[in-house]
Amino acid sequence: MITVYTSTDCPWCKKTKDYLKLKQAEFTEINVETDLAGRSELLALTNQLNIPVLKINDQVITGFDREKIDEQLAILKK
Amino acid sequence: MSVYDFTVKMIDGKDVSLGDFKGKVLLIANTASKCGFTPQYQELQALYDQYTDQGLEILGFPSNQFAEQEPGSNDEVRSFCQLNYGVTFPLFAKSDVRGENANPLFAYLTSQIPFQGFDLNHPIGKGLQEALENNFPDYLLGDSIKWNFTKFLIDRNGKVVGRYEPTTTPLAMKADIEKLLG
Repeated sequence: MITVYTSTDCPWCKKTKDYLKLKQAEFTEINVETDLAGRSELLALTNQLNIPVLKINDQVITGFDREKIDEQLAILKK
Repeated sequence: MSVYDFTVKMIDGKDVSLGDFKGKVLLIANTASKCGFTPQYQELQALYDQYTDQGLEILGFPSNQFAEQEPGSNDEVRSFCQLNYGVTFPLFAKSDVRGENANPLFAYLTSQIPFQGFDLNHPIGKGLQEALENNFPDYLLGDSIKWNFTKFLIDRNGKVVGRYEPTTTPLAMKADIEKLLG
C-alpha cells in the first residue's frame, strides 16, 4: 500500500503521482493543504512540512526521489 | 520616486499602498514558489518573529515564474516543495517578478541595486549558476530577478539599501537588519 502526501500547487507532487501512475502503482493521496488530520499525520511521520512524502512498505521517502521509489516498488511487487 | 509610491495587491485582491509602511524597515522578497530554497520561508518567518516588534516588516511576493521550472536534476531545485503553512508575514497576490509583465515594484527594486552574482560558496550556489547557464541563460543577463527568494532591504526612509540573492540565507541578513533597525 502506498500513501502520497501532497498539496495542490506542488509540481513535484504531480511528478510523483504521474510516475506512480506510469509504474501502474496504486496509491492513496492525502492533500495536506486541505486535510488537517493528514497534515498532523505528515508532521508525526516526518517532523517537517516538505512534500511530496511517500509511504511505501512502511518506508518514508521525501521528495520525488526516483531511485528510492523504484527500490520500494520492486520490493512491493515481490 | 520611492517604494512608497507603489500600490500592490494583497493575496485577497485588496490594494495596499507601500506608503502605509513608511518608517519601517522592509524586507521584500519574491517568496515565489514553494519549491527549491524553501527553507528560506522558515528563516524569513524566524526574522519576522524576532524583529517585528522593532519595526521590521516582511513582504512576500509569490511568483509562479520559477515554480514549474526544473533546471536539470541539480540538487538546487530539490525535488520537493514545502508548505508555507505557519508563515504569518504578509503574502501578496501572485505576480511575475521578471520579464515584460513584471510587477513594477520588482522592476523598480532591481533597477536600484544591480545583480552582483551568486554566492558560489553557498551549498547550492554553483548548482544554481550552472542550472541557469544551461537552461535559462537569458535570466543571467542584466539586473533582473534570477530566482526565487531574492531579497531586498529598504531602510526607514524608503531607500533600497540591500539586495540579497537566493544564495544568501535570510538569517545571514541579521546584522544588516539590526543596523537598519538602529
